[in-house]
Amino acid sequence: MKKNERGEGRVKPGVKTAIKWIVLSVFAAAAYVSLTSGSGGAKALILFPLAAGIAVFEREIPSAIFGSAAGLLLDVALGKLPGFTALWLCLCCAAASALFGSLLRRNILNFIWVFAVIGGIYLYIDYYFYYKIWAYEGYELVLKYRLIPSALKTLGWSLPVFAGIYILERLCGIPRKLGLEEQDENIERI
Amino acid sequence: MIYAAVSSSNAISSAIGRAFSPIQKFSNRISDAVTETIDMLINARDYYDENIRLKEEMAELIAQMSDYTQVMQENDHLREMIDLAESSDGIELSEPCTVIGRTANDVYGSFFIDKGEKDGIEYYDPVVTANGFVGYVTEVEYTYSKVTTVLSNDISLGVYCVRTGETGVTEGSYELALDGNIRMVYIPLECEMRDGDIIITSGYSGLVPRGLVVGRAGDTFIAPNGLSRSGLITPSVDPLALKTVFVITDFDGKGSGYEEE
Repeated sequence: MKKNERGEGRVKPGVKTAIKWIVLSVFAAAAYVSLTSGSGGAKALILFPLAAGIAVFEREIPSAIFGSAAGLLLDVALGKLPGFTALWLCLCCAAASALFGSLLRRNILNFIWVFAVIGGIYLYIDYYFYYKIWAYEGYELVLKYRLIPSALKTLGWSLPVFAGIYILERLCGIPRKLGLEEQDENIERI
Repeated sequence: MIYAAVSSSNAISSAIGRAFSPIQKFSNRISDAVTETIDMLINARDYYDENIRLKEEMAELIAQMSDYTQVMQENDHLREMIDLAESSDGIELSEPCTVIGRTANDVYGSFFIDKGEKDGIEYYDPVVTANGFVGYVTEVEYTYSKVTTVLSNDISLGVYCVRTGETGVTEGSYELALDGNIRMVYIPLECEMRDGDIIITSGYSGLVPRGLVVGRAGDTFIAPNGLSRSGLITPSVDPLALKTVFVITDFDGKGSGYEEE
């Protein structure tokens, strides 16, 4: 009865999960379209925080699958070798999911620093393999005028994206069971 | 006397008029509002029908306007095609290709077009507009293709100055691309090329037909090796502003430069 009062239990968990993934897929498609449309200039890679945000709430396998798909879309949109970003996001999302599943609390601060580490390493790998290693004339300018502005915009977008995923998770996610240490009220939490 | 009486009556009526004028305005407004409300209530059915009819008419006009815009665009594309075909003999153009997307964060402004293998597009087909050379097709899929622009450091073109006939080769770089320019290198030391001269393709490579406008020359300077001069070229086409392009699917002398080697 209580469940009904709170609006839970009316929709089957399977339907909720399906709705959640449909919404996330539509959002990913919209992020891809926004990336490839419009004029030039540095653009936010919204698919990046989306994949990382999903890794915060999902288990390792779904996180890795969504990370790969988002990475593949990013590879196509950025004109990179297919698999370059996909492999990176697949590994990082699985690792992040494992981290959030067992070590970290699921909050925005932890998300931001985990996302910043994943994004920062990716930024350097991208710069190194696509620009620095070839040492074409003026390659440093790409870092200044494209990669860093794009990374900063992406970081800015990561907050609303995380908020969106958090709300979606609250609405459509299956309530997670607390771990042993989380159930213990005597533990002092920061 | 009479005049005084008349003039004083005028003054009185004027004073009364002034005093009652706001009240009259107010009463008029109320009267209008009441009339309007009654009219609305009585003729509501007529207004409703008229509203539906006008909505239908408007939808029809919007559809006509859309068709008209489409026809206008098609007409512009065909005109552009005719201009292009007339300006260069022996070239075969694709149908107008719409720019459907851009490579994100690409300094060179590469983009995707809605024509691919099924439309007869091949690798390294030149891409043009009525204003001049845009770039090459560097990826061909069944329904779409990717175009790498003239700003890219992957593209080098044999070009010459229309006025002086001096030849050179174009090259791009990240630094120049950020300003929307390319460089012309291997220009003879004693060149007479001036700012504003038109630079066109030489067609020597067999990859691009002769005579396509690449851009306008800027200042020239002696190259670091001291053996030739280099100069800036401002491309005639801004890749970031493109919406429609044409692919040259065939032209006289296609492939002759590299097939002979």
